[in-house]
Amino acid sequence: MALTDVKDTATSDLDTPKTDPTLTRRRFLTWGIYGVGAAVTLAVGVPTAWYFITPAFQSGDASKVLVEVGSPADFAKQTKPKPVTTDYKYVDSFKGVEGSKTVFVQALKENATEPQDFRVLDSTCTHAGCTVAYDAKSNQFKCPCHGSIFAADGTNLAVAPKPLHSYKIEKTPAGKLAINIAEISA
Amino acid sequence: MANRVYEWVDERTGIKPALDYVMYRRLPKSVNWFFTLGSASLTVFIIQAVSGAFLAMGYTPSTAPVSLANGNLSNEALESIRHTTGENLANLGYWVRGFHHWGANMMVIVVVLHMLRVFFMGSYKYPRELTWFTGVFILIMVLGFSFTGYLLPWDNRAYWATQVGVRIGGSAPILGDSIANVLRGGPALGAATLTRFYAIHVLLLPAITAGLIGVHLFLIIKIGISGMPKAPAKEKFSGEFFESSKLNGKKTGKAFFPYIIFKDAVVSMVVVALVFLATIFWPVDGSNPVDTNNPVSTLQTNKGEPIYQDKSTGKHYVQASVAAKDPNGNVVKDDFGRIKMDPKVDANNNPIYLDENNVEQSKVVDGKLVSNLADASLGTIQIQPQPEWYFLFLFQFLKLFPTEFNLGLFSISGEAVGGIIVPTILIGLLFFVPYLDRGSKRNPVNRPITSLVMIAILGLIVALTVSAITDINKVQASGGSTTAASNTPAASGAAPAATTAAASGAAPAARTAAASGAAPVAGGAGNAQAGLTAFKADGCAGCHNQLGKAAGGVGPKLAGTNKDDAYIANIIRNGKGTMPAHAADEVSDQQIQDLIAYVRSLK
Repeated sequence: MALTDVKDTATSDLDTPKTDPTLTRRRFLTWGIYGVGAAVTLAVGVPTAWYFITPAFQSGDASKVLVEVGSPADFAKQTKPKPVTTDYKYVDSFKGVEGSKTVFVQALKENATEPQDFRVLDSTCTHAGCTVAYDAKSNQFKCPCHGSIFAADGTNLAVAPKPLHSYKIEKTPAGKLAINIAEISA
Repeated sequence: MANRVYEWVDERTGIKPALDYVMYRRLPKSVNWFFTLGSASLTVFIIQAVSGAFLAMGYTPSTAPVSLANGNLSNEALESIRHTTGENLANLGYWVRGFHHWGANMMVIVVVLHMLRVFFMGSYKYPRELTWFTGVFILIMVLGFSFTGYLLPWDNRAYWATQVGVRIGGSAPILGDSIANVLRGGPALGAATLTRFYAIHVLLLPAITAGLIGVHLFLIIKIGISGMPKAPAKEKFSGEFFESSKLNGKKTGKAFFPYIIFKDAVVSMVVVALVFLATIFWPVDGSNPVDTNNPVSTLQTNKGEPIYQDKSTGKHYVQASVAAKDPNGNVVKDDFGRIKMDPKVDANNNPIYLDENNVEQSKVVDGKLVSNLADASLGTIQIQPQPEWYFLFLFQFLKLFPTEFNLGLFSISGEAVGGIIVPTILIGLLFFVPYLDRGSKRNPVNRPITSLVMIAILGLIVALTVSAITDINKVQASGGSTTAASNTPAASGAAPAATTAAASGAAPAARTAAASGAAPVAGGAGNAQAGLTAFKADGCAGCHNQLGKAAGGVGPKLAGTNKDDAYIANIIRNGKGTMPAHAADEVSDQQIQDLIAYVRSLK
């Protein structure tokens, strides 16, 4: 059965005159069937396909999970990275999610107040996902799993393929330093 | 282009002869519009499979609690559905759900009509018995889909309807408890039941049904379909039902393509169009999150807002809400960063509603009515626990039976007889009908007993369904369903209606306020009036029809009961079947005495 070729002489209906070259009953029915099939497929398919692809049009802001790490004063003298663990809550689609996050906060100069004067590094090793520790003696981050080493600014020195993730820091209206933890999965 | 692709595929698969056989096979000339119902069922099945697969992407089969922005508690299953199909209309999720919901209803209708066509034309006779057997199994699968799918939203309506269904299963003789436990996945309807029903609904049943449909279609193509029976007088004693199987290969009859399939396509399109229109005009509303203590549910939108109805006009409203502000005028957010929403009220603390066009309607300003919310009859829409409409007849059938049949040696509950034994016998009869109706004639007039038995059963089912719907309407009319809200001008100082929809204008509605009207009675004797108040406030009227005066609800008629006080007290405290247990902090010992006094006072 070909899509438009309905004159299959071996199987064509004996009731239909084979001589009519234009619009036969048979041809009308054939196009009717394809028309109906297309209509039903569109009626079901278009809204379903739209439903499926709408996440593509969601704005990035929806995935922003702002977590406060403290106020600038907390880190005014902290010129070495300091581990900070913060609890956070946010709404994931339809349910509230709670978790905690460990990051390293470092002031780039003494008595810093503005976001650009701080550095917040993620504690997740870029090699296999373990949590790195700060070694004050060598001023390096060291990973307990496979021996990755990162410099104090996060640069990867050994094993790990990429530097530690450095968060973009924002200042909340209340003057706190905050990071978007969704950055790391984006 | 399409032809070249087809040729390419054919060259590599050799599929053309098989497809030609299927598409150009000859069918009896008598095949007419009656014979389109099978393919219409297949169309609906495909719609269900497609819409179901996409719905599953937005669904979480979990009963875990979820706290909402308004401070209420819901659950993950319900909130996942609301999130996918209610919060954001732009994603058309409501459309996919609507199609699945109305497709399910359409499925039952089309499959049953298809079965009746085959039955009355005697098409199940030799050599098509196996086609019939697979068809009956598919019918049972469809009902299984309906039963398991109904629970998945995990709202109160779903929960209590399933309680009723499981109770019927659990009433089976001897194996009852085991059956109920297997259905529930444990001793109680809960988290295990939801995941179990979900897996059955999306994995097990689709696989089995697809297999059955495959066999069904294979047999239809292999053996051919029966065509219309001959006129009663013209029917000979045997052999006629071979006709279409002999047709293949002969130059007689009508080719499936395009003559037969054209009618199939037209009917399928009508069926899809009906589902489409229902989806557009009848949004699928849910009810409140599961409340294991109260079987009466409140109709809610897919955003979780209670739906109110003005009884005098029939119009629907939802309460308007507004972002909560603290005394400094700042927006209040919860720990998760969600803006807290409060009911919107006017200057006199009267709630403001949104009508069907999203226009704000306030009832009262300065003691004067200012909108079409003209009277005090605005109330939430309450739903009694009841199954889907096509199961209502069974529900009603159960009520015809006494609580217990005493057969001397043993006794058997009426529920088991009406809910298990009789339906099992009927399905068995349906299944084996090719071997019960063994005559060779197919015209229904020529096999009067078979036809009349089916007509009688159909008549009974229709009558029971009508009677069930009448009963439900009666419960609504008696105030058990649409309840008045306490926001009349006189009560304008009262709390907003949403929290205190009362069973009658007079009774205080809050469940905890039940005992407030009860005068203490010496010696713990019950007070019938206080009992009535507690009866209304604890939701008893949801199951016991007309405040216990009539049969016809989920629960039995209470008036004239022959049970003793201890029995009644035990049932109220500890529950039985669908009847929920009530702890002492819900219903005090004094209230139990009041309730017993109330039941005794019923005539």
